[in-house]
This record gives sequence, structure tokens and C-alpha cells, in this order.
Amino acid sequence: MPDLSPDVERELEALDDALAGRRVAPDLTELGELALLLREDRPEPDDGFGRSLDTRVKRGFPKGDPRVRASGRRWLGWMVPALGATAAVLVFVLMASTAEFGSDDEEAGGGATTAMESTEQEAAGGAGSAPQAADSARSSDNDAGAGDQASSLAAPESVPPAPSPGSPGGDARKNRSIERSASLTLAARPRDIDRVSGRIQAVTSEQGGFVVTSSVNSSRSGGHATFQLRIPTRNLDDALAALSRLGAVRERSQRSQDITAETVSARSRLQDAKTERKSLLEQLADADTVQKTESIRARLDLVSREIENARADVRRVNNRAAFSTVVVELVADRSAAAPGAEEDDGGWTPGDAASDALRVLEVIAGVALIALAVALPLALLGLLGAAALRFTRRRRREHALDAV
Amino acid sequence: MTSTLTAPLRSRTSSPALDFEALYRAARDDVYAYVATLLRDRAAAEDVTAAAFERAYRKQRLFSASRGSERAWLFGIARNAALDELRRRKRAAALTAEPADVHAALPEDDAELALRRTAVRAALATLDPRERELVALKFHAGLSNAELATVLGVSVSNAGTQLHRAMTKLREAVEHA
Repeated sequence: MPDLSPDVERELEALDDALAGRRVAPDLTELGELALLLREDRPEPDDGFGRSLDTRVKRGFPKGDPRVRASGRRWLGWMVPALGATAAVLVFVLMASTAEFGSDDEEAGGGATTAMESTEQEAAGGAGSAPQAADSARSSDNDAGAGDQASSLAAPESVPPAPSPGSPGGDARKNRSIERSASLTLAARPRDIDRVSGRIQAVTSEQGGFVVTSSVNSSRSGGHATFQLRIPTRNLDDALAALSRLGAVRERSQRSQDITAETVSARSRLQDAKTERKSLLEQLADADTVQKTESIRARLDLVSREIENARADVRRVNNRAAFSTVVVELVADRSAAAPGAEEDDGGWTPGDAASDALRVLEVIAGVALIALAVALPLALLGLLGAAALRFTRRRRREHALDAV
Repeated sequence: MTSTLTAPLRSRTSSPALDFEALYRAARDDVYAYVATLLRDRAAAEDVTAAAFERAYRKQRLFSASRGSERAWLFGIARNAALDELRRRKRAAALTAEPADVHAALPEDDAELALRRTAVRAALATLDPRERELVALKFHAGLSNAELATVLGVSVSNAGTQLHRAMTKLREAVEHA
């Protein structure tokens, strides 16, 4: 008792000494006697009460029926986790139903876009249709004659004049010049918008093409991206197949236009101009008067300009056939599969099981997080309430003592 | 008290740190004395004493030696039970029985001692409830100052100071009686 004054400490020690039967200092004898008197004067229980209490203790206080109390505690014991589990299930069901509704809304919106004008159009509603779209892209070789077109582009000067409609060779596909274009609408999860956008540009480069324009907007809740690509026509199908694997194909369309006539026309004009220049050069060599020479030179200048224009036209039309314009639109969709998802052949593979298990763990973690977010403040409030209750009860007890 | 108490009590006790049987035997009369002094009602003291031991019996698993001695823990329970009784019954100064009545009928060999004892009882009655509780815990229940501090939820030095103040007041009251 270091905080007590020496006198106080001495008197308290005298009290303890007296109670313990030890000698007390002469000046504190009266205090020691008072302590002994107080102790001797303490109330003693009746023998009947003592025996009764002994019996109750011996029997383990059966009057309170501890089994009933214990069962009450057991009820509390399983009730708390049961309530927690119920709350978790409710949260899970709520989340699942919310996701279902969201998916339905987005599918409805996707359906509206299928009215887009196209010459060859496929509407695909989910992630599983990506491989089908890719296959379709590959199969379109036969329809568009891309292989033949590639060879024609490799040797553009050899393209013959377009056969007139109704001629025996009018439907021949060899040596035709075809301009192709395609549009693709992909869906990806909001968090994958940036990643898929990067992959689109990577695929374009891999296929020998380039990005003409691009616009990417991504946010936590959604996102949207648009690309205009120029891809070598000979790689168009492979490119479409690769692009289709980057997300869920919502829509894909292709357009082919025969530009053989334009190609032949441009080349013919070039050929004619070259022929004329050759003739003019021969005439120039044979010219014997200044007036004739100047006339031929003037004509040569004119033909040279025609040749340049014709060459530009040929390059332009060749470019139209050699490169296809592909417009890719990327939209956010929470229900879309992750990019690069495996083709679903209907079987349930160990990979699927692992993916499902991962998804289940994600959902469980999410639910646990939400439950924690709900339970933590509640637990805190409960603790505060318990502390306040304890404090209030203690104060009331002390107040009861003061009121006596 | 018989030795047959041992078997059922030990079978219920999960914490080896607390021997309820020994605690009960050592503290039964002390608890009663403390509660009777505090309540100044023998019948209520018996009920509260029994309730306190029952509470202690049911909560013996919660006892932690790190928070004080077994006696301090038991008297904390007894104190709460007594205060609950005071709250419930809204007991005031007017009580039906005094613990000292029992001794009033006892024969006294020494007249002077009897007079002095009567003076002490009268002086004790002049103390306020908190001071009387301190006296009861110290001299009727036999708690050490450290145990007394634990029961009251104050520091040991604070408990000593309060006890000294109560004793000073009691001595003055005895002198004037």
C-alpha cells in the first residue's frame, strides 16, 4: 500500500495484527480491541439454514434444474450459427437472383442488335457460340473464294477482263477480285474490357493488319470499345476466328463485293496508257519537224499523267481487295465467359470441375465477405450494448447501496 | 458437512483451479455474515447467501485465478446478489430484523464487555451502507485488503483508505455512544 500515509498504514496493520492474534502497539490497543469486537459480533447463520444449504450444495442445487438451463444454453449455442447460416443463404440467394435478372436484361438488349443490316449475318447469344462463329468464319472461304482472291492479288496484272453477265464464264470464281468487310460484336466481362482490347490489337498485328481507329472506354461497372481494323484479306478468316475467341460473340456479319470490273478497268486504262506512250515514243523517234516533235511531247505528258492516275487507281482497287475492313465492337457483359475460354463440347472435364470449384469458392468468399460486413457492425453493436448494459447494471447496483 | 459432498461436486467441476467444495466450506458463514450485515435482514441474508452459492456453483467454470482469489470472486458474486436483492426489494433503513438481535439474548460474562459490544453495534448502525459493507467484508467475512479491493473494484490503497476512514468514523461513534 505505497499510496497510504504511514499513520494509516500503521493502523491498518494493527487491525490485521489484532485479527491474526498478534501483538498490537500499545497506542493502538483500543483499535485492536475494536477489530476483535467487530469480528466476534458478526452474524452467524442458523443451524437449520446451514444444513439446508449444505444439502442443496450436496445435490448440486437441483431446485434451479440445471438441465433446463443447460438446454437453454444449448439452444443458444446452435441458434447463433443457424441464424448466421440462414443469413448467408439469404444473401447468396439474393445475389444469385440479382445476377439472373441482370443477365436477362442484357440478353434482351443483345437481341435488339440482331436486326443489324448485313449480307451474311449470324447472331450468337452466348459465350459458347464463339467457336461456332470461328468455324463459320473458316467455312466462308468457299463462299467468298478468298483463296482464289489471294492468288489474284498476288498477280494483279494477270486479271482478265470481267466476263459480261450471262457469259459462260460469268460465274467463274477464278481471278475474281473481291472486296470483303466484316463486323464483329463481342461481349466480355467489365473487368476484361481492357485485356480483350489489347488482345484485339495483338491479333490484328499477328495477322499482318493494322488498327485504323480505336476507342476504348472501360469502367468498373461496364465498358465499351470499338475498333476499325484493316486485315489482309488472305488472313481475314483466321483473324475473325481468332477475334471470335476473345469473347462471347454476340453478332458477326461479313460482306463481300465483287470489284473485278473496277480492277480490270483500272488495269486496262493503265495498259492502254502504257501502250499509247510506247507508240508516242516511237513516233517521237521518227519525228522530223519541230512542230511534230512538240506535238508528240505534249501528248506524251498527257499520257504520262494518265499513266500515273491509272496506276493510283490500280493500287487503290488492289488495296481494297487485299485488305478487308473489320469493325469490332466490344461490349461489357457480366455473364460473358472469360476470354480464351475453352470450347464447350458438352462434356464435363476436370478443367470444368476446377473452374466450377473456383467459381464456387469465389461465391463463398463473396458471401462470407458480405456476411462479415453485416456481422461485424452487428457484433460491434452487440459488444457495445453488452458493455453499456453491464455498466448500467453496475451503476444501478451501486445506486441501490447508496439508497439504503 | 459430510464427506459425501465430494463426489458430485468434483464431477461437475471442469476447472481444477477452483475447488468449490473447499470454498463453500471455508466461506459459507463468512458470506452469510457479510450479506446479513449489508442487508440487515436475516431471512433475506439466507436467501441471498444461497443464491450467491448457487450462482458461484453454476459459474465456477468462469473463475480465473488471474483476476483474483477464489474468495474475492465468491464475494463479488455475493455482493452482486445482495445489491440485486436491495434493488429488487427497495430495502430502506426500516428493516424487520437486525443480525445483532441474536447476540442480544446471549449471556454476557463481562458487563463492561457487553456494554462495549452494544456500543459497537450502535456505532456500526450509524455508518452509511458503503462503510458498513467495508466493515462487514473486513471483519465479518475476513477478507484481506487486497481481496476487499477486488470485490469493490478499486485499488488496494483506495480500499485501505476507505477502510481506515470507516474505522475512524466507527471509533468516534463508539466513543460518543
